Amino acid sequence: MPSTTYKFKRAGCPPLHEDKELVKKTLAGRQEAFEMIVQKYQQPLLNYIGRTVGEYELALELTQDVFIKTYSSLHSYRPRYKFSTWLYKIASNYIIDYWRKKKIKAFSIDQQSKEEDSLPPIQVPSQETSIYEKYELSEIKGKIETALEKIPPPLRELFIWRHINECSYQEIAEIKDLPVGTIKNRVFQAKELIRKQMENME
Amino acid sequence: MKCLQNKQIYLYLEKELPVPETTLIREHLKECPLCRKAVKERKVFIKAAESLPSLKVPPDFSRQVMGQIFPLKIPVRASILAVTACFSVMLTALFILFLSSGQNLVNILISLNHSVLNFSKDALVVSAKISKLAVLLIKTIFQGIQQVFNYLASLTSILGPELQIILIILSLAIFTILLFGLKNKILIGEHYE
Repeated sequence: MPSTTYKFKRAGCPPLHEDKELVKKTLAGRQEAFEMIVQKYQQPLLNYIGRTVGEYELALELTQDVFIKTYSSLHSYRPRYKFSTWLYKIASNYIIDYWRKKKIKAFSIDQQSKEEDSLPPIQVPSQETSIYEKYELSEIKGKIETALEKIPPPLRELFIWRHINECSYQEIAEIKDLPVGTIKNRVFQAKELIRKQMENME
Repeated sequence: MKCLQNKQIYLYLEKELPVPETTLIREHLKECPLCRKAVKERKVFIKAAESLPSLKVPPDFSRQVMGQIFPLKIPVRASILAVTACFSVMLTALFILFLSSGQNLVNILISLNHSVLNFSKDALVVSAKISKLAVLLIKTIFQGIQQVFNYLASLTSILGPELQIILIILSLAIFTILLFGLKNKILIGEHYE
């Protein structure tokens, strides 16, 4: 994805306040309340979907679909849960469905366990080639973007939640319905795979 | 302390480790240049990942979403205007057609009037027949229900009062289960639970 299309503004997992109130107002028929939800979450959702599918126009379309799906499912939202987590869960499931429909390697846990055999083991630091000594930060960013597209989708998704959307491990565990320990392991594997890909680019 | 594991380095940088372990790592880093380099390497990597630019959201994105959720309604005045325009166009077209065909407009209007009258007569007959059929159907349903009640009445004369109570409770339970099953099927969307 060309970096020229990006806006230099950070937007991770936004705070929770007001969300439940906005949901309540939307359910009461106030359209402007849902528009406020869209405005609040459009950036983090587009970041997640865009980085996951790798195509800007497609990402816009899918983000729109996620908001429409969220609106139609709003009656099933329970206020005792964090709204952002619920929304991201819908987005994550929507992307999985998209991959399945496109017959692209889906985000299944079974496939994940098979893939784990080929992932880097937990190692003690060795005399590795240093990226930071060789490249500028902007170059490293470009390499990360390229490497991100080459790693398995399930790991890519977790890496995006953690390091691009800056969600906590606990929140990712809730989005993916997996234990926190498993999420930590997989995010670690994603990072090491990306670093390996970056080393191979040299 | 042994040299750090890769995973340990990430968790240390993300402040995900308990305080005693973090203190031990800090002590180790003071002595081990290899681990120091590995930590710095990953610190730069995480910093780069977390500062990747956001994708640009089009300025009218939320409007587009809202337009798909709540399709824009045409204002009443505009819709009346559109209907009037269509009607005028149709009338004009008809008038031009009559003029070009050279037929007598009065004759055509009379024959049109006859056709509408005949159609109304036929429609009345058909609707009368449909209402007769509907009455017959309702009668049959009522007779069926009456038969069911008769059977139930004869059943209560055979069964004892205790058995009757048990049967009523069982029926209620089955009805409740069916109702909840149906409710779960009807609810669409994401269920967090």
